[in-house]
Amino acid sequence: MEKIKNYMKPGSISDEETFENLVEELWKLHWDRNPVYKESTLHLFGQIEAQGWRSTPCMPISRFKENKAITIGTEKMPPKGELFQSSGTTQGDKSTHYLPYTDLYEASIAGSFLHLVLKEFRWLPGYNVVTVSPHVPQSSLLWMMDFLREQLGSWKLMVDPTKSEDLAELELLLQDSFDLEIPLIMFGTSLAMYDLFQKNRLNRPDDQPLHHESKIITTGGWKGRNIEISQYQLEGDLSYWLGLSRFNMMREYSMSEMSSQLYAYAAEVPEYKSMPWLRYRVVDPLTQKDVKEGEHGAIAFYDLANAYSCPFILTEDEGSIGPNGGLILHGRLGGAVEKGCSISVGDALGNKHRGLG
Amino acid sequence: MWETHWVINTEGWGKMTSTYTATSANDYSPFHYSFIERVQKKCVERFSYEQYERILESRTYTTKSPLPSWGEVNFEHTTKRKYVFVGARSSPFALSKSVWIALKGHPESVTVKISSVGRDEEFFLDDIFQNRDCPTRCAIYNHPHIEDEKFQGWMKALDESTHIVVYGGEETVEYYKKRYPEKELIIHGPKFSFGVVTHDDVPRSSSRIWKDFSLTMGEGCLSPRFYFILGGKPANNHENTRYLGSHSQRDNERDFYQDHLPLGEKSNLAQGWFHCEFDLTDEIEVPDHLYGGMKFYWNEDRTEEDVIKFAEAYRGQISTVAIGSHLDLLHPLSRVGVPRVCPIGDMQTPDFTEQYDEQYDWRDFLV
Repeated sequence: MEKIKNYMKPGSISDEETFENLVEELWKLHWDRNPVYKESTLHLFGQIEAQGWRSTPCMPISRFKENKAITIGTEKMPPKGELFQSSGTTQGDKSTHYLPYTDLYEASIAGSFLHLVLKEFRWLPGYNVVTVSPHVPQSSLLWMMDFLREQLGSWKLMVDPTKSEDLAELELLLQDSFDLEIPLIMFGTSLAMYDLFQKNRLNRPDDQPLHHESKIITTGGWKGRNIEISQYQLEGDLSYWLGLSRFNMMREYSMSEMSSQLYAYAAEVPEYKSMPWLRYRVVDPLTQKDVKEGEHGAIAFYDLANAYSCPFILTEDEGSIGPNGGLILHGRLGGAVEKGCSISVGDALGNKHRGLG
Repeated sequence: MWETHWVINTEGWGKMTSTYTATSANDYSPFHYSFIERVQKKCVERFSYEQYERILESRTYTTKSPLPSWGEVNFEHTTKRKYVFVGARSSPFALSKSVWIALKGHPESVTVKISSVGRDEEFFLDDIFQNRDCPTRCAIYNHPHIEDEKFQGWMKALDESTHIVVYGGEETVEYYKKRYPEKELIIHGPKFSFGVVTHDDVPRSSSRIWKDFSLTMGEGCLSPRFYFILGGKPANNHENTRYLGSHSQRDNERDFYQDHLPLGEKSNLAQGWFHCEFDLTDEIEVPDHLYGGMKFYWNEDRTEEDVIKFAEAYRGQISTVAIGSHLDLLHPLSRVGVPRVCPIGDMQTPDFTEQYDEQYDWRDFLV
């Protein structure tokens, strides 16, 4: 794990060869000590010899629904671990992701956010940080938000859009950003942001723009809620209300089964980028071979930060590779049950209706 | 008097979210003849109508005790009856039984609703009834949709019916129970199926076990929800999983389905290949819904007698039992009300003439 941590350090040399070597080591480790991964691989491809990361088989993400703890073998449970749970329509649809240690998760959150969002190599003080989400137990998103608030924030606030006292405090922070020129980072689910701003629950004078280095980051989609505007429109409205440009608006994409995140600038078709320790392919889900250039397929992730659970994951999300090599998301595949942060938030906000995401 | 109502709309009552199940059952599967194909081959091409009728005769009259799924229809006074069959998905049973009743019972009418992508069923039924002196007025509705004028015809048939034969899940069954409380309902769903094997059967029959499960990915009454493993302790979980996912079997499936399935269904298949676990415990869970999974139960003290007691306890709820080496179970299972016992690998593809399992060709049990 030390090698992976070194690879993830800001400014480290993240060349292809090192990544290949780390994947190879992780593959051997999981083949030997992760019975669920081994079973999955045997089930899919029989006995294989992976040659390069692109031919390393991925474990279908549905396996996280069946197994409480997909980890490399640990004789005894470490004292400090985290159990994350995704949302789902029933208990059986919920994925659980057990991380016996959170060091790689923390390193990945920090590295991805610093580099892809702030374009920095170290934490700089002086931000006000607001996360927007109701409380959802065992949410990896909230865990990540807590971590970022702790690392970044001079002033920190978690806003639950359903609580009026939170809203009053948020208004003060927004005002500070204008009056005292403090950049604000606001990170929330699309649904919570929609509820916060689109429903006009927040009184915001439109002639008081936030500091120009502020960042507004949304994650997750509408997930079946009957919302007529697009996420892109929401981002446009947010940038207008907060006096920011489109370049201040970003989107995040991850899932509870992963330890790394992708970020994209807000656009009608955003192209997500990741850090070198998270690589992706767009594949035919049956063969796990790359689809042709520009075609849609299932997204397969190679996430070194997931070394403790399973670094090689075949998702149920549809994607394609964009013109700049980034990842374009196209929703869920084949009626897969919607999952992720937004539906949990939707639940917490009292959203009863669900469709397929 | 035969009429076929072509209804183009494919968004009808049937929840056809998966062309995988329908198409693999009917058209694409390289591992099975679909029911319709087999019936057509056996009953239309290979046999004359007279031969076909003789098969029905023999199956009807030579069986000592008709089994529950077929025995509830009394043919003594059927001429005034109006049967409606509510079929689910490709509905092989709904089709075969409706034909059987029409030919043998000569009721006043037989109306069938199916939810199928293909139209083989209509052609098949046309073939059966065309040019035949069958006094029964027969109609088939494929995907009657509420916005389609044919829907009214279907609803009228339901209102005028005397007997409604329902195949489907709990929601479907409850709907008909509530809507037509005064009519005689013959309910065929939801039921569950299971299998009985020895620990030796697992590696030997792994591809056949997998076939039974994978055709509808465990989401059907005929899919095995679990297997009893009797006798010696089975191999460990790794080994058994490897048997079930044998490379050649998986390669065949992968190669075949790659060209036939849309991306979303390929994803479902890839994700669902694993909902199959060895659970070497004594606690047997009978799933109350189609959960798309399969378990294997083993306990060193469990005997054939325990399996029979289990089947008796769930009398009326069991669709099919597949057996491997335990041929001794055939008759006892039948006696406690199991309507169909078949060899491993044939669960999903019931033969038109195999419903009387006591007549089954014994050689086919040698797997």
